[in-house]
This record gives sequence, C-alpha cells and structure tokens, in this order.
Amino acid sequence: MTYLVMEVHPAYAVVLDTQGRFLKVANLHYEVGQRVDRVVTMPAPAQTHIQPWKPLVGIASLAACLCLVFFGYYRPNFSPYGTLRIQINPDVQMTLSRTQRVLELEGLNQDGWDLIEGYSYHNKDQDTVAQELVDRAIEMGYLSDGDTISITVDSSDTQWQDSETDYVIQLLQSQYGDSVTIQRGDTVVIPVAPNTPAPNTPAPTAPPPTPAPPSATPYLPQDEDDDDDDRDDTPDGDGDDDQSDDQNDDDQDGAEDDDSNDDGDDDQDEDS
Amino acid sequence: MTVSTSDLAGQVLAAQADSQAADAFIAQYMPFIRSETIKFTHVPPEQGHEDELSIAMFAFYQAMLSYQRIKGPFLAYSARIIRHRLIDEYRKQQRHSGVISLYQPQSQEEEAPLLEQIPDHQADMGSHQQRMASQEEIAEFSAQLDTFGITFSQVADNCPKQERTLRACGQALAYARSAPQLLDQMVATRRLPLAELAKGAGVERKTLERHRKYLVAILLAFTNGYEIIRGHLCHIHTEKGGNGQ
Repeated sequence: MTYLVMEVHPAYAVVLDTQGRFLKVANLHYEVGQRVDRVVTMPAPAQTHIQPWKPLVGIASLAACLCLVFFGYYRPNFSPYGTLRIQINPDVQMTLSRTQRVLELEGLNQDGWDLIEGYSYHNKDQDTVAQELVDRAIEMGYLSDGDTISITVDSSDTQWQDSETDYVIQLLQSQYGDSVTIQRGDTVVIPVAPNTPAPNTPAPTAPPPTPAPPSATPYLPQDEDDDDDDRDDTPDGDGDDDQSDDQNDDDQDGAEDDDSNDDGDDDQDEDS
Repeated sequence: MTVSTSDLAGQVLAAQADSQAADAFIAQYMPFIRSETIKFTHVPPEQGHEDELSIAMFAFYQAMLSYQRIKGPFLAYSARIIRHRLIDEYRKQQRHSGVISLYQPQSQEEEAPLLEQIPDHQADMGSHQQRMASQEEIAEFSAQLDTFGITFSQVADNCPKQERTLRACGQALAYARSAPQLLDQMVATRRLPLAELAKGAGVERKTLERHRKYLVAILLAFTNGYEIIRGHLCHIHTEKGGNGQ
C-alpha cells in the first residue's frame, strides 16, 4: 500500500493511505507530499477497561486466605477443643486442640504441679505427653504396680470426647495395662460433690469397688475444694500411700486443719 | 531535569490535548529519547541508526498520548515503551535477515552498492516536480481544513479504526459524490450535512457524528481541485450502500 505524507511533526507524520485512512506513523525523515510504501504505525492501544471491583479482588483473596489459615490451620491446631485429665495421684489436666495437640498443661493438685515441673509439652501431641507423664510419674514414685490411672476427657463435642477417651485408655492400656489399671474417670466424677454432705458415710461408697475406685473418689473432691487442702497432702508423704490408709491420714489432717471439707466430713462421720 | 514529577505529569496531560504542546514537549525531551535509543543501539543514532531514533520518538509520543497518572512516573513509563517498541521493530527487521541490503557493496572488488545496478525508472526531475505539486496541493488542503478548525492530526485521531466504520464513512462519501450539491453546501456553510448524509447513505447518524472531522476532511478532498489526493485515494471504499439510492 502507498501512503501519502500529509503533515510532518518532529515525532510523527500524518499519512493518507489509499483506502482513505489518515494515520499517524513514525516520521522516518519524511517530507510532505512524499509517497512511502512502508510505515511504522502506532499499535492500537490496549483496551484498558477500568474494573471497579479490581481492588476488591485483592482484599477478598486476602480474606479468603486468612479464613483458610484460620479455619484450616489455626483453629484445629491452636484453639482449645477439649481437656484431658489424668489422675494418678498427681492430677494433671491438658488442654487439647481438635488435632490432639497439647496447648496447655496444668496441675490440679500440688503433686500434679510437681509432676509437670520442668516438663515441656510444646509441639507435642496428646499421646506423647500422656505417655511421658505416666513415665515421669513412675520415675518419681507416684505410680507403682497395681495403682490406677483415671482418664477424663471433657469437650462440648461428645463424639470427640468419647473417641478420645477410648483412644487414650487403649493407648495407656497397651503400654502399662499389665501393671496398672486404666479406667474412665468421668464415671466417678459425677456423684462426688453433691452427695458427700449427705449423712451416709463415705465408707459405704468407698469400700464396695476394688481398691482402685476409692483412689479416685477421695481425690476428686479434693480438687473441687480449695487448694489449701491439696497442699496439706504434701507433707504427709507420697500420694500412693494416702490411698490405702486414707482414713487415718484424714483424721490427722483434721486435727491439724479445720477448714477442709474432707476432713470436716470425716470428722462428722466419726462423730456419728 | 528541574521539573518535579507532578509538573511533568501535568505537562504530559496538557500535551495530550494540544498537538503543538506535544511537539514542544518532545523537543524538550529529545536528549532523553536519544539516550534511551543509545541504550538500545549502543551507538549514537547518527551512525546509521536514524530510524531507531525516529521510532523511539514515535514511541515517546505514543507513551505521551497513553499516559495516565495511575501508570506511575512518566519517564519510567516512556522509557519502557520506547524500549519495547525498539525491540518490536528489531524483531520485525530480523524476519528479513535473509534478504540482501540494496546498500551493500556489489562484490569485494567493487565498492558501489547494489542499488546502482538497478535501472531507475522514475525520472528524478519528474518525481521532484510531482512532489512539489503534491506539497502545494496538501498545503492548500490543509489551509482549507483550517477554515473548518481542523488539523491533520485531529483527522488522524478521528479516523475510523474499524473496517466496518470505515466502510460506513465510505458509503456517506459515495452518496455525497453522487449529490455534489451536498459538497458545495458543506463548503459554503462550513457545516457537515449529517442528516442528509445519514439518510441518503443509509448509515447510522451516530456513526457519522463520531467521525465528523474525518468526514469533513475526506469530503473536502472530493470537492474541486485536489487531483493528486483524489488520485491517491484510488482504493477508497465508495460503493453505494444502504437504501439511499
């Protein structure tokens, strides 16, 4: 095609092609009136549609990412979903995420605090912590053959609660089942607090089961009492012995401290 | 450059509207364009790279037209456009890399370029005269357009880009040529008889309105005189369309 140069500017020339188009082309030293065969035309400007929702896309994707991180990673791993309580004599409770990560570990009595002192639960899951705590309890002399471990899982998700309980009990059973008794703690927890003030003695509740349940019963009320009471246990010596000769110890305690419920109950019992 | 960035952006935006301001702006930034070209060619443009400089200037002009504040600093933006344009042109040239240049020597013994072997059919004198005649005619055409308050740059900006629109304008032109009184009326009144053209050619009036300046120029070329321009427009689309006839 031939182009007739109509006008020249420093940076461009206006040419007329044979089809009647006026075009702006690169001015390769043209003169007005010159006919040229090849020109450098201006490329059609890219269609730049202004999309008002474009900035929102970034925000939305950021929000989606945050949601994904929160619901997919943070919540299952870092938000508390339930608690697992292990009662040997030391009473410890771990707060678990849904994925069984241990988020927090606390003692519920003085022995429990002693047991977990210096123990790091960071980045460990419930299996590891439970096993290591039982090992520690054995090492520190809290747990010996024939004793009982009570496992209590608490969560708003009852299905999760049940499966966790079974899982932990099975796990500990397979590890320590031949030397110690593993039982569900929650069955024992319920009757404790409201029934104790009743006139019937704790003796009837305690003796009927095997030596193991009494170990659970005396300890559960202790936790719901003031901490003072728990601390009083420590000077008495090892917790395991307490389980067997509980009554005697309580008497002594009662003589020393008047403010504990347990002791009070026992005193009443004796009075009656 | 002592001009602050905001001033520069303002200058660019002003130059977008005014072609004279654009020319002045480009003249002012010639050193910049030159340096950008040298970054690409690695030799001064005078050493056989005049075309690259011209293309860089054209790219700078294009950058100036398409610049918006949202695109960041103007100089960085234009430097990018210049560079990409030069690369584009270089690649286009590469496609012809198998072709021998007319300017290369005929052989190792003879220094004269190949071009001299080709018989020159165009008489130099004749072509020169023809060019002078074209120049005069174009100058006259330009002066006539000026009375309508239109420049060639504006016509080029207003020229239909789509084939279909160009054809619609061609139909309007064909109708006007068949009814010369419309052309006379336009020259006399300095107004484009849009309603008659749209009705006669069977084209949407809106389409013609959008390309008013272009239509004025192309219709003016088909009034009396302007033989050379009219001769050049040999392939213009002038078939009659619509229900005008």
